[in-house]
Formats: sequence, structure tokens, C-alpha cells
Amino acid sequence: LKDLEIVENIEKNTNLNACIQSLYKDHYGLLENFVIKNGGRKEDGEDVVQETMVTFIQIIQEGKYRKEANLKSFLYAITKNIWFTKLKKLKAELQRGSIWIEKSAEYDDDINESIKKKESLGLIMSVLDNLGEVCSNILKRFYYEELSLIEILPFTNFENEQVLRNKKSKCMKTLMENLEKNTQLKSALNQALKLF
Amino acid sequence: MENIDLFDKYTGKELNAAEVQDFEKSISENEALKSEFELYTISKELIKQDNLRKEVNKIHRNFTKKREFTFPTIRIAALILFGLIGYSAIWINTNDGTDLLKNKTISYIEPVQRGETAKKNNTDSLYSVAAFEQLIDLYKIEKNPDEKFTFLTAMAYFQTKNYKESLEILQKMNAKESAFKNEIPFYTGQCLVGLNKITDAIKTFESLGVSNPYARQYDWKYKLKLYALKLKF
Repeated sequence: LKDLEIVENIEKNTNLNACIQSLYKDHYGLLENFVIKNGGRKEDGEDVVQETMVTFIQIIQEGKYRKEANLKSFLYAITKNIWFTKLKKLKAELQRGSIWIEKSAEYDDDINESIKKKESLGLIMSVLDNLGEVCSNILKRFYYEELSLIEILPFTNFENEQVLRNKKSKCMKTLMENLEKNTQLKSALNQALKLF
Repeated sequence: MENIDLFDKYTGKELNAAEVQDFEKSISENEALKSEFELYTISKELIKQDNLRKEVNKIHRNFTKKREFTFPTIRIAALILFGLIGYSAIWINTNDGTDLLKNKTISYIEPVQRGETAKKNNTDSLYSVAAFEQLIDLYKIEKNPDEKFTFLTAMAYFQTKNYKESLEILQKMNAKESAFKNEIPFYTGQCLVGLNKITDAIKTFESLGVSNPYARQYDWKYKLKLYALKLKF
């Protein structure tokens, strides 16, 4: 897939799988190498590339990607920011010190904001664990795959669209309640609320 | 639950301008609704990101698995290929055709026992005890050597690696009418190998008839070695 095609598909949330595969095929080696050359292990490289892909899609879908920016450079900048943020935390833990992080690219602010959002969500992600398979499936298809209720209906055992609509809203309500009542996640949730 | 439907419509841009205005006004005035909408936004982001992570992770695992499989396979294939090329290079360099001249499926004892009288004479005895130089000396002073003596002299030259002389004698002999009709073309080819005239040797071996027992010597290994020698010379 061409760069522009990838960006347009991600924007529309279509062919996401093919887009990610294409990004992996074309850029994985470069991004993993960056981490390894900057003090990371192969496993760090693998983790950072996955984080890069998630952040990249998130930035595009938030409409923050400027199309004139080169895709390769943009992915490289995300990887750099993710890895240096991790490295900084790691070094701070180990040495209680800090490292200087290069801040050069014009889109660093957007990238860092997305990284923070992603991290804040990561801290409250466990709330999804108790949702149950039926709810997880419905919410995934509706909010992630952006399918309509009529399109989701064949994947379920619900009689009609209205029953499914009620179930979907109930599932969402449960998730929101779980999120609110979990005191352990309170500070992380507050942090996420500030960012979104 | 009604609110969730409303949030879905608002974020999905399904509300008209007036409805959007109403909704945004409610949010700004109603603290509880605002909190609920914020929770909804975070929950929605959580669902999206969790599933995106899962999808990326699945692709990642497939990609790295494929890569791990592809890399060693390519490496092994490359190693085998380089190994073969290296071995071939060494083999071609060290292969000078000596082994081709040594390996004879048919021992030359058999022709010694042939000839006009089929009886061991002095020349037979000399050849049998590998007194090749003496046999050659005898041939040089013999005015009228018979066919067997001539052939044995050619073989004596061959055994002492005087391929040029051996070839000259063999080429003068009439192979078709000779008792050594099988040996003459084969050793002609062998002499040509000894002289590094590989293309001519191949032609000679190719012309060996199927009835010639020496044709068995010209098997695929022999051919391979000859073609390797052809590349070298």
C-alpha cells in the first residue's frame, strides 16, 4: 500500500489490518534497529514498534497527522519518542537521574500527547477484563470496528436490533460503572480524564 | 442508557445542528451529565485502544514468526549455496584429471592376453612387469612391430605419462580392424585428457559405441569431472 492510501484508510478506519501489515513490512526493521542502536534489546525493539503502531493509528484517527509529513520519518519520530520516554523512566529508576531527550521534530508535541494518552489508558485497561465475552464482542464491533447494530446482529444471538441496542448500552454502562467505582484506578482515571 | 445512545449519536455525528447545540448546552450546565460523558469518552477510548493493541499484537506475532522462519531458512540456503560454490571452486582447482586417468573400469590385463598368437611373448612379459621403458626402447628398434606390440607400446607411453607419444601411436592404428578396437578410442580419449585437450576428449568419449565396454567408464561422474576440467583449461 502507498503512504497516502495507508493514511486515508486509517482515517476512515477501513482495511486497518492490511495497513498495519504494510507498515510492518516496510518499516519494522528500521524502527527495531533504532531501539537496538540506542541501548535497547531486541525485545525492547519489538515492544516499542508495537507501541509505535498503536500511537501512529491513534494520531491519524485524531486528525493530528499532517499529510505532508513523510510517513517513514513520522513513524521514526514516534519510535524515538516512545523509546526515549521509556529509557528516561528506566534510567530514572536505575540512577535516579535523567537523560537529555532530543526535541527537534516539529510534531514531537502531538506525538508526546498521544503517548501520554496511551499510557494513561494503559493504566486503567484492566477494567475491561471483567466485562465478559458477549459485552466485549459487541463493544468491539460497535466502537472499534464501527459497525452498525444491524451489521453486528448476525454475529450475536439477539432477536432484533433493539434488543442488541439495549444490550450494547447496558454493556457500556457496566464498563463506565466499573471504571468509576474502582478506587484503585481512581488516580489513573483522573489523569486520563484530564487528557481526554 | 438513554444517555449512552445520545452520546453515541453525538460522537457519531448523527445529531442535527439544533440537537448538537442542545446537547452541548446540557453538558455545560449539568455536571452529572458532563461526568457521565467523560466516563463514556474514556470507556470508548479504552475499547478502541484495547482492540487496536490486540490487532497490532496479532500482526506483530505473525510478522516476527514469519521473519524468524524466513531468516534461518535463507541463511541455511545461503550457507549451503556458498558451501557448494566453495566446494566446487576447490574441486575444480584441485581436479587436474589425474584421477580420470587412473580410474579404469576395465583392467588392461585383458588386452595383454590378446593378439595374433594369444601367447605371451617378450613384449607381453615386459608390459606385465611394468617394464615400460624397456618396452618402448624395444619398439624404437623394431622395424616391423605387430599390432599388439604397437598397442602395448602406446600403453607403455600412456603409463609413463607420455600422452603425446601414446596418442600418436594410437591415432596411427586402424581401430576398426584392430583386435583393440575397444581400447584404442578409449585410450585416445584418455591421452587427450592427459594433454588437457578436454573438448576433443569429450568428443572422443561421446563417440564410444554402446557395445564398447569402456563406454561404462564414461558415466555421469566422469562427465562432470571432464566438464569441470573443461572450465579450467
